[in-house]
Amino acid sequence: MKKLHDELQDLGRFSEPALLILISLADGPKHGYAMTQDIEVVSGQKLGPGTLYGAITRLEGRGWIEPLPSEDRRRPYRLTGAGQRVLKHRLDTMKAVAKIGAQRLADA
Amino acid sequence: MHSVRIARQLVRLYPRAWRARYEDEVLALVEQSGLAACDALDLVRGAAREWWLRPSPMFLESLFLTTVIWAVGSGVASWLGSHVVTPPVISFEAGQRSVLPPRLPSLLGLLGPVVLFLALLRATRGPFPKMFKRAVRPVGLAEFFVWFAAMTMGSIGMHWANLVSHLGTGLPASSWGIPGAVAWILTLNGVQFLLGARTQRPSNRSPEAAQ
Repeated sequence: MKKLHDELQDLGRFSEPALLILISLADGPKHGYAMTQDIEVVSGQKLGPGTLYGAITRLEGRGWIEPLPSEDRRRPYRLTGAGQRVLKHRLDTMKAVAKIGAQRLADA
Repeated sequence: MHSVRIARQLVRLYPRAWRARYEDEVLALVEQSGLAACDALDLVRGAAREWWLRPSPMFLESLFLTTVIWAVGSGVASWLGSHVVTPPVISFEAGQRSVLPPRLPSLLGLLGPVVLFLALLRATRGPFPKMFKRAVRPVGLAEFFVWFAAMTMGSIGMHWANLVSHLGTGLPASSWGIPGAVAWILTLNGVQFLLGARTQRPSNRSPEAAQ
């Protein structure tokens, strides 16, 4: 499990956009525009086209998302099994960290 | 449509393989969402990242070979200049020897290991093993010998041109050596890069997967 965590961290400056993309694709395939809309609703962040496709390039290269046959010029992507595992691990980690943080705040 | 036109120009900043894979999608996204100034800047930044974070194997290979050739060739050229060409010809002007071209490549050659180290540092985050294998493949070796010979001959030629210039015009010997050496470096790197480009195998994989 540690390895999966490190892999997502390895994306460096793309790790946060990549996480948002994985979360966006968790409920079904989306193309670039739908992802940016969804991510803006979920996180309040608007990913620029360079950041979005920079992260997509790396997620696709690692096999965490995959493209579906193109509808027109807009190519939808979906989460792969490996992507689901990475996302689940990251969310579990975040949940554990958030729980500890909340506990410490309550104790203070 | 104006946004798409601007985006199309900005996407040209990206590496070719990346464009082939993602250009249409980026333009479709811009068509729907528009292109604010910060989005345009984001595209420019993205292009810089694509070139820097994932330099193409072609570029790394070319840089690797050029650096090795430059470092080795400089050493040999320096040795030839010091031991074969210089003493019998210009021993009468020992004061000029320290600035003659054979010394210059040897000094610049010291930069070789630095460039090589930086290239390898970058490569270890990417396709170093594959790049290294390609660098020592037969075509790479052929390039090596061609450029090794060219550098050695070039160094000796520059030395003689410098000497003739010095004797004929009275100009300081180094005045011809420096621009000649710079032109030599640029030519070497340019042609080596083109050779690397020519020998690069086409890939249908995604840019990231191509690593």
